[in-house]
Amino acid sequence: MTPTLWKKTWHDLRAAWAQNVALMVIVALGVISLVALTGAYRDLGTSYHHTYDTLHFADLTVRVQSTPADVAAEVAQVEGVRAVTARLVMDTGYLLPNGEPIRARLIGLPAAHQPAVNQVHLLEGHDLSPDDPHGVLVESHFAEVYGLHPGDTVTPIILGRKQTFTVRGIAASPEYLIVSPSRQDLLPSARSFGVFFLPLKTLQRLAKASGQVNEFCLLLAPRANRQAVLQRVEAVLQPYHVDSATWQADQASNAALHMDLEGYREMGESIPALILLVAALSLYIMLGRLVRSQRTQIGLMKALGYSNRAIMGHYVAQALVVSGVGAVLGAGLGTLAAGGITGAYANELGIPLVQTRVYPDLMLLGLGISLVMAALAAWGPARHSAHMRPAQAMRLDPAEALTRGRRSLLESLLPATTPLAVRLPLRNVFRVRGRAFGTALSVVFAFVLVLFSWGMLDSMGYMLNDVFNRVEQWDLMTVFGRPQTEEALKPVAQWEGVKEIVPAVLLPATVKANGRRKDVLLYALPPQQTMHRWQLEDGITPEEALRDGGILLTPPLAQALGLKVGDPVQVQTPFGEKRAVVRALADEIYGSTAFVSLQTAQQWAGAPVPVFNMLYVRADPARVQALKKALFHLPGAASVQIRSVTVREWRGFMNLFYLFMGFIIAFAVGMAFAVLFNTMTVSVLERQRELATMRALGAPVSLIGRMIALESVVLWLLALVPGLLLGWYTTVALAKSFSTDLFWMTAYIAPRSYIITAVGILLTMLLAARPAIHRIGRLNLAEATKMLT
Amino acid sequence: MSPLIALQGVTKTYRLGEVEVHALRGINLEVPRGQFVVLLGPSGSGKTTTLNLLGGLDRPTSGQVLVDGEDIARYDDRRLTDYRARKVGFVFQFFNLIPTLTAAENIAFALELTTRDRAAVRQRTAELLALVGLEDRADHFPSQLSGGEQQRVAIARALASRPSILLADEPTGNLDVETGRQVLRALSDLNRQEGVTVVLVTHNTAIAPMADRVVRLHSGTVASDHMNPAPQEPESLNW
Repeated sequence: MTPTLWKKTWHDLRAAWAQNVALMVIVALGVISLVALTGAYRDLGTSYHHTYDTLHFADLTVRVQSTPADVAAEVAQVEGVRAVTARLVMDTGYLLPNGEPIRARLIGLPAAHQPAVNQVHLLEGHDLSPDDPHGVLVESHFAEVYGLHPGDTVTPIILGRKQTFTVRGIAASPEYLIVSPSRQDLLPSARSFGVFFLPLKTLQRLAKASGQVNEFCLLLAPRANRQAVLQRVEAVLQPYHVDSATWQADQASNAALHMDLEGYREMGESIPALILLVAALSLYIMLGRLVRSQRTQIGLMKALGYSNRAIMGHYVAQALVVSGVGAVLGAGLGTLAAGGITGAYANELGIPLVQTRVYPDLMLLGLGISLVMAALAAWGPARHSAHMRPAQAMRLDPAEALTRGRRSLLESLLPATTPLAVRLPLRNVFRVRGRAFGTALSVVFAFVLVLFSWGMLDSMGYMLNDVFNRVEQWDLMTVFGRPQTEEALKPVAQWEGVKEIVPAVLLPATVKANGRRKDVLLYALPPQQTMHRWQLEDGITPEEALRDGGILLTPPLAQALGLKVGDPVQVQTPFGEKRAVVRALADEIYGSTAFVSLQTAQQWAGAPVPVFNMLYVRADPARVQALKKALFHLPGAASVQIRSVTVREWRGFMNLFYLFMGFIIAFAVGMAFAVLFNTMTVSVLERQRELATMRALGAPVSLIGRMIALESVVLWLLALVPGLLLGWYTTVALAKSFSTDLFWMTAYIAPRSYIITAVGILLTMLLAARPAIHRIGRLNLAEATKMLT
Repeated sequence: MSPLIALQGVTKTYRLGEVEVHALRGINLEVPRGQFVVLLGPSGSGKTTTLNLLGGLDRPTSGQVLVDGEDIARYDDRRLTDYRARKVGFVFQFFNLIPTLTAAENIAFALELTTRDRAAVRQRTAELLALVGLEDRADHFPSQLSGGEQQRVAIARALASRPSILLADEPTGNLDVETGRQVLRALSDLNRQEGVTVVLVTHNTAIAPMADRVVRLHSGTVASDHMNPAPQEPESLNW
């Protein structure tokens, strides 16, 4: 290209600055989404791993019943074990200053030094010390919720007695980046669950378990055969009864983080892809139109002796400049946004060791995709125009300004008396079908972007409100640390405000089938109870599903184990390994849940009288708080949950999700606006002469504005059904990818969201057309009526 | 009797970058009702600018543009739009038909700007198509019409609202001689039979003999202004 052509490139870019800026915005948004979302996903993964590596997060955690601490030395000898920490872990209660009971976990650690495995990261204060047997470290989330600092006191209950400890420090733990008591208690609950680290000897003394531990945390050698190590460790610990063995992947906090990260990965891949696709389409339409509109200039350049190559280079260069500037801006802003997302996320979760990086590969990928798209978009029309003969290209033939007129099919639906001001917009929409298709496709993408964002919010809300509230019909749920008889629980039914009680059994269990195994929370309930209403598939009744040793699984659990209805399974319980048959599948918010009948569980337990460790209570709403305190004071009560509080806590946990989806919605609306602004502007510019003629004939700007608005409405109508359908399918696909065997998300879009999306897109289209309509009002009619292109 | 059109000391200055272009330098011109005026002049003489000012497509830098005694230069956008819809008709060099409307619809579109009476629109459209001899092309789209046919549709459209002034900017500039003569015949008939005042801008001196009056512009001023004692029929013109 000659210097003059470069100058022309610059002048052309300036002349259509508004459209070029909108194109840059579209490209920038596409690249921002790629760099920010994928970058944040990588940063978060890096930060987790960095935290895990630095704090020696356990590869395997084996829970046993009371075991002498020195068995740790034997475990350490097992081939493939790199390091072991033996500790005493006690789940107990904690009384808040207002008397409200919550759950607490006390973890006994060596006081003189950090443990070899599952170290804690001190954020404030001092480490544990042998000289301070009543000094504890408080897990950071709990400390933050209740404003605890070094020097404050905390009062967990140990063996029924309130014990007072002094806070020595606030610490983060790799086991509690998301504070979850167990994998089945998916809900992070720093408000209702506190973790305290205290000297092992202190806890052993207070728990009357001197010299005893009940958990072994292991780091494995890099290339160790994991299953072989587990078998050997289980063999060593066999005499002390292994309750559970949990791999790092299944650890509650890690699994929840993994689930979250997976959700981000999906968004980091699918949203940029969607946005880049829209940007590509938009670039293709806009640049194609721009180049076609310069037909006479191309003819002139050819007449002056410029080669086809130089001319094509000129237009491709314009496209590359627009796209390149957008991509560079997007890469920069995307990197900043990635840091912001990672920081907000890490801050929200309390990830102690955050690592953010610049990802040149993502920036180059975004830049590369944008440039290739731009080059392709400009190449075709430029090549076509450059291959015209100069005389043909330059001829001021009015016929060149004419598109072939035709009546639109939609018109046949209108009464014969319909004014031309209504017919004309219909014909304009379809005057160039390819263009109409491209424009409608842009609108469809806008629908998809906005609707799936709403859809994800709705799906989450649906799971929390509809599913949870429909399935869980109890008001309070108490879990006991030791078995209870029916006689002991019966008096609860007589308490003031209690409407109904249902005793049940809750067990940790492992379901095994087809050589696979999954840790679950096994509920044993009477089939006829109404506290937990199963959403059974195929219309089967609970009585049928739970008869004769029947077990109910969730669909994701059945899928993970390769099971279908009628298949036998092995269930490892605290009472030994039992056989059951899958009789039905039930939709649950927690994927790792299974159910048997109370009768089956009692048979498995083999106790002389029925025993329970869980109690559902339906109560008068006004008495729920008082009943919570009363239930907590029952002998052996370990935790009491209020259903409404649980839902509220879920919502709190989802704040970041909502924030993220809000960002995506704003992104989608911005993107939709930029695309529609460009589409409408170019659409008007292409018809400048025609619109100026209308004005010269005496058509007021308001009439032309209404006609353009009507075109928008027609395009909107064309895009409405495919847009809503594609939006729904995108939501289904994303909800599916967001689901894991732990947490199941059902795709759901509220009718309200369809309406908001549809109306929002229409308003955006009308708004996007306003600058173009304003431009018509300012047209130099004398000049515009003479324009041929 | 006061003239239909009166330009009084009209100037028009454009800025082209840093250069000021004086398109009109204080023109005075009066056109009585029913006259066929040809504005002649080379490129840059100011003839199209004059036409644009008369049509309300542009505003003068100074001076008055009086039509029926009212200074349209003082009109706001709304009144100017109404003026264009009711008082003047335009015929453009490149026809400027709306490509997605048929010949009849192009005419009807202009009519619908001033009336909602569907029957009146239909009747007037048919009359105008008959006037320009295109009844059989009513349902053809512009892309299906020849250049001459398109220009005749444009003339019919310009007459839709029964304007008292018809402004034509190089109406034959894009037509062959024979088709050009047909278009000029249509304009002449309108002037003589309907009494429409016609102001036709051209650089083609061969057209001048058909006008009642020929005004020559040069560098934004009136160089000459003379009446034609015996206007010729368009068919006798040659170029």
